[in-house]
Amino acid sequence: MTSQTRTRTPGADAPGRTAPVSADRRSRQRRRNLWIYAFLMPTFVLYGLYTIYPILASYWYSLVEWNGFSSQQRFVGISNYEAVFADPMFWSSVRITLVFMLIVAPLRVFGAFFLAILLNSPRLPFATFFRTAYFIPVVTTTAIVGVVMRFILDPGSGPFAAVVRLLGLAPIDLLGDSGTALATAAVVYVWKFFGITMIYWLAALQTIPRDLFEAARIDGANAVGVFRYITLPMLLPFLLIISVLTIEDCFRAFDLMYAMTAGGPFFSTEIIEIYIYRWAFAASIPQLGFASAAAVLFGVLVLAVVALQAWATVKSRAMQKGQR
Amino acid sequence: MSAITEGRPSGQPSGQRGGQRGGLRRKHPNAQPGGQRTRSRRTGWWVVALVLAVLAFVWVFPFIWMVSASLKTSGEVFAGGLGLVPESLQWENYSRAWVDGRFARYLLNTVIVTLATVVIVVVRCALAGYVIGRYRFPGSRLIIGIFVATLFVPTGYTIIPIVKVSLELGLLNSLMGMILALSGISNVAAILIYAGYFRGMPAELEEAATVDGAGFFRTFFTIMLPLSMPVTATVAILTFLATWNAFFLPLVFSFSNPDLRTVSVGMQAFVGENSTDWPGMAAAGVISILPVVILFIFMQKYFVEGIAGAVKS
Amino acid sequence: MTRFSRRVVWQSIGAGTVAAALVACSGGDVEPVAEEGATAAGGSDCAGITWWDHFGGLQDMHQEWAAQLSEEIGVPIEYTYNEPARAVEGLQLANQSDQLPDVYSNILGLPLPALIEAGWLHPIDLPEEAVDRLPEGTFVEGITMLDGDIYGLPVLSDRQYWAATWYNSEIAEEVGFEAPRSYDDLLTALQAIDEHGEYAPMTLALGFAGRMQEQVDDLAQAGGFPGYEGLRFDTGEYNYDHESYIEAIELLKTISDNGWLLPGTNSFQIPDARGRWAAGNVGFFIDGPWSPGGVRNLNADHLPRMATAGMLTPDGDEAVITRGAPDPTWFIAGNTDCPEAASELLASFTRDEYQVNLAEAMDQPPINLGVVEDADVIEPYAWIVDDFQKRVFRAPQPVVRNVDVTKALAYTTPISPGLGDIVQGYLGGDITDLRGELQALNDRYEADLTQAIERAQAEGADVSRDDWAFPDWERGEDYTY
Repeated sequence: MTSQTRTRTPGADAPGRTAPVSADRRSRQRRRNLWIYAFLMPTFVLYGLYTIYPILASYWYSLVEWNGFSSQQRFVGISNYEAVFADPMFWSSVRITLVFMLIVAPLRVFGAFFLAILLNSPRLPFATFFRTAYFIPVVTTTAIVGVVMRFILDPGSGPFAAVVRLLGLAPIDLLGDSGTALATAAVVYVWKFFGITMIYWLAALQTIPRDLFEAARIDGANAVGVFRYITLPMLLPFLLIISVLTIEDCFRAFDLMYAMTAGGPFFSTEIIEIYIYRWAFAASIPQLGFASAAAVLFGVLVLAVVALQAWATVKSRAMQKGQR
Repeated sequence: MSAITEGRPSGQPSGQRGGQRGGLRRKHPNAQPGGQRTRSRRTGWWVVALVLAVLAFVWVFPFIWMVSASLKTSGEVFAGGLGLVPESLQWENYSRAWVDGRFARYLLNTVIVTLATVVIVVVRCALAGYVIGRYRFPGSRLIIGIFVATLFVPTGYTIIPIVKVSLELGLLNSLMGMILALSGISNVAAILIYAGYFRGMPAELEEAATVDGAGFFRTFFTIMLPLSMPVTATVAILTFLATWNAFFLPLVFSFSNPDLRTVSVGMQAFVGENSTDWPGMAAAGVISILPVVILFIFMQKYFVEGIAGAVKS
Repeated sequence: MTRFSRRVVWQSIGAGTVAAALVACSGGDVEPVAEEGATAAGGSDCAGITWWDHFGGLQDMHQEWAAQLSEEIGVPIEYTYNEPARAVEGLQLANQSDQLPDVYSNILGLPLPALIEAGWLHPIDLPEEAVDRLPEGTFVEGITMLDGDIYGLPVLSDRQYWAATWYNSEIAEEVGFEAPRSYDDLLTALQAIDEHGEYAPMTLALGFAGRMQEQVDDLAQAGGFPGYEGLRFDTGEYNYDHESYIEAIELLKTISDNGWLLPGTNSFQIPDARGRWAAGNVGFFIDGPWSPGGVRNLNADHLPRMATAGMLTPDGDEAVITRGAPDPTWFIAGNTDCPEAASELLASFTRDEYQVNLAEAMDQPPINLGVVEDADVIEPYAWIVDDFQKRVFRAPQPVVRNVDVTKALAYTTPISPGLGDIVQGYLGGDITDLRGELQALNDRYEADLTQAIERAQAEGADVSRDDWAFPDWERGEDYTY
């Protein structure tokens, strides 16, 4: 928590940072190091088994042909990658993943920003109540929300269909039409996780000292001026962080997508995670090597975003410093 | 103390003191010259509130509809329409979901998996965060480097080897395997939050403890860990949300043993087997979602601060 | 399993000590239920039989059968139902973790010799009288047998088709249409329902590509396709762009474009579609012979309303269906500790009592079709099973003529997008060039089969592309080799 450390001198007073001089001290340090490794042990074991090893193993699986049935794995070099690259369905899923991200991220980032500005205003009645209401979808179970949304949007019996009928329109099958399914799923995803981005923004807004506003008002600035010259510049670094966190989040839409459309109709909502799942678990003869190759490529895509994040964070830190 | 309220002189969240603060400002002679304008501005905010209220109703409507559908008959639900009040309350929908749909079992599984995962994650992340945050030791840079490099690993990327490693350990079809896998994936953020927090603590705390004769272990558990309650709350809540929501891993871990399903997976199975039983499914949904919503409403402050903590660190 | 997981639960509650739990769990391959249970019948290490299958309509019946047979054989039998969508994954994971159930149903989608090769199967020791109870020619080398040993037990009939036109007889009476035989009959009936206005004309499991594929394959064969699943018997070539396929898909397209499908049909899985139909407000539904069994589970009140006129043909001709030798329904796990007890359980499935139970569940028809006459089933079910006897003929199979073919088949991979996906995409408007897309499908299958044959040849298998051609095949006759 940067906010904590900001008030103190970060890390400067931590103990044990100076080089040991005496033998006694060295042995004490050795014992200390043993404790340190003991403290790290649970993380080494769990993280190693369930994160590091799987990442490495994915690379190996992506080089073999393996159906998961037999214990035989046949080394095939990079031919799985060639097959993935040659599969138009893979590129389609990459495109869908990116389109999904491009719909979700702006809606979440800017929509939540707007709402947060309103909720942050001291003059708005019932602000806490609204915050609660808009946050509630976040704490509900994604896979169940997906099912409930299928009912809500059901073109025959759902409440959405009732509204459509009320307006005198023909039945619309939002999730069943390949033209609208992806956008619909994206909107549901926005709705589901909107609250998180909203809280991000509220937290960001509250880092702006009150006195700044008071001072500006006394100087005669109007609301637009305050927003333009105080709020916006102060929030810019947060915009970067929040955007990257939100974009990153868009790569984890499997649960909702699986529950709502499972990739259909006609692959129109098949994000990469569903593509991987389809080849690894849902195929009559699982193609684990092929699926792993797709997974590794997916990882590369995510890595590109992580690189962007690292860059954005560094940039925003620099901007924050410049302001203080 | 908390991230979200920092920077506010009053230390109060906006909503609670909003009205009062507005009142104070309205009396300010320079900023608010005319009473007429004040009144219109106040009306303006009430209009905003009204709009937000309508929107909020639409926002939570799916849940209201779900509760309503869970108490209707199948016929009523399929008839469609926007009516929310059931003709008569069909409580047997709940007993169907609870007993036939086995949501009693699924809910128990979910609670066990979630609690155990939260405990393991908090303990292991606090331990790791403490030593990473406060000490430099051989390999520390490398470890931090690995953590950062794997900070954002999506599950779709690693599920196949996780299944393999669990198989080899004989953990595949067990809640324990599910718990360990859920506690083992992607909690780097939690470690880094802990590390940042511990780093900011004054060195005197440890020095005093050493003078008192406390060792490394005792210093951590009796002094440092209790002091890190705000971070622990953050990590616990974030882990809680992630685990309660988890679907992919529990799905794969309960393929061949339906007794291990969590509510997320159970819901999918229920849909597959009783796809026309909307009231039963709605009841199952209420059973699965209600505990978390209630918990959220009572511990809202921690939820909000927990998530705010993520953006600030 | 339940006991095991409860133990895990308690451990996990106090799971501060990860290591201890790890040790406990990794050693915890389900504790033997009853160690003294090793009886003469079960074999030396037999502690009980686990039995998994994916037959949703048979759950209650199998639960009871397991209890009854457990007493007869003298070992505990634990029966578990897995829904079809999950059953493959379940078995696959179980096999790799050395936890295969002793007895399981055939849903793996791999040829028998490949399964044997990979250690999935144990020979079934069927007593003479059990074999005699089955129709002659039930067991075929390469499909259920290898080198004279039986590895797979068929208990379901090979004489079936899966795209029967089921309709609601009450709606038919009210609206006034006859049982449709031709594509035009169906369109006329659907239009009548639509004009009547009170009911939705039709629904399908359009969201489930696999089911759409099966149904279009069947419709095309009934419509004159000289082969099965896109593969021509006479030339051995893929021909998905055959006129019969185009006609069948265009029929569905017309129905869809006219707005005659219940809203939401696009994303319906099987139970969604069947459930809506069983609710009684939809006229038509295309489904297999198992429809009455499925409907009974969803809404038994609908059973009396069910009617069918079998499978459509474009011009209302008599449908001619061609199917291969009976596929295995049941397997015994290669690593079973209870081969004898498991064989005894499987042998019990050939008894008339079990076959009648199968018929009465109105799922897929039993292999001894004769028992349906005496069974308590609804009239349309009896009718359709009778129709099968008249219309379904034996297909030529490359595997039967040359066992080495299986070595190539074992190297084939899933094709995506498949026929069902294409149907979905064409109806939804994502595909406009249907013929071109079907030709591309031919090419994908052809390329895959070619590489599989080449790999098998490289390993010494005596197999060639010619093995798939049967120039002497005649439509409407049982093929003999």
